[in-house]
Amino acid sequence: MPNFGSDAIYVWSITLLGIVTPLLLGSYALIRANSAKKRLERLEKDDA
Amino acid sequence: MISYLANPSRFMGFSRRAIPIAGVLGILMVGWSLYNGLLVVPPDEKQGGDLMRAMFTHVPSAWLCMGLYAGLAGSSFVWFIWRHELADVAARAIAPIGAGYTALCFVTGAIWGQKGWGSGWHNLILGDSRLMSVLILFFLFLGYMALRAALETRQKAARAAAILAMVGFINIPIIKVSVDMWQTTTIHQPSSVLSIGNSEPRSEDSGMNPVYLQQLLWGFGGHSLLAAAMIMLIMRSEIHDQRANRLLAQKLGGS
Repeated sequence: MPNFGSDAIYVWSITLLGIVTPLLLGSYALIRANSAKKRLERLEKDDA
Repeated sequence: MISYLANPSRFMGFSRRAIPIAGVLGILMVGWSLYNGLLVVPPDEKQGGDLMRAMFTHVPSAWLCMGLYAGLAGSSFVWFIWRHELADVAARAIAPIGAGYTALCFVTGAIWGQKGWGSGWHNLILGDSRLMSVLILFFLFLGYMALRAALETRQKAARAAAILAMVGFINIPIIKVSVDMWQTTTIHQPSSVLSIGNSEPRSEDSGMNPVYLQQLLWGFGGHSLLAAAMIMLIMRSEIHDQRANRLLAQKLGGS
């Protein structure tokens, strides 16, 4: 791990936010896509 | 290309293949940018030594949140003029991703500023035109989503939200020029990659070193691909929801 001295807490917290935010947004998009697909498939199955 | 994808069935076929490619490429590019930005490039003493490594997260998110709002306003414009349903679906999908990246830009900027400028969050937000205009962008994204959820019919919600998105676009050039034209109201550094509207002569060393610029572009490209993958995923869910609602309406109408 590189030593950023007194800047370390700022650099790492910003980097961590930069990783966590797209992960959370991606999880939200995936969950939404899966639930919408399952709902449609359920309705189509009922309809058949 | 856009007119080809304007058909929902074609879009579903294209996005099924494009989402995994964009997602994997995006992760690799962001990882490469962070690896180089944190471990390889030398610290820049002009920008606070190692503290400047925050830029490899903050700057791509700043460019992207403005780009995503431009996409939201553009999609809203297309829907408003031509009533193209897929443009409305795209606008709806862009809003939550844009809000997320704007929040990332705002929070990382405030953390960076707290150390770099030695000022508390309260003073930063109220005293800095760049941070304030980004905060307004965040509220525009939230307002767009709230308006869509608040109105009764889909058409009314789409119309009101499209007008808000188009009017709110005025904030994008304000964000851009806030550090170049209103230097008395900001402690944010002037634009170092693309400067617009700054009539003052710039010092020779104010431009971005290509070593850093290259990593910023990798990060921006990677986050853009990730955002595109997420937007296509949400668009697919919107299309599935619309089909499910139509099916449900047919069933209720037939029973």
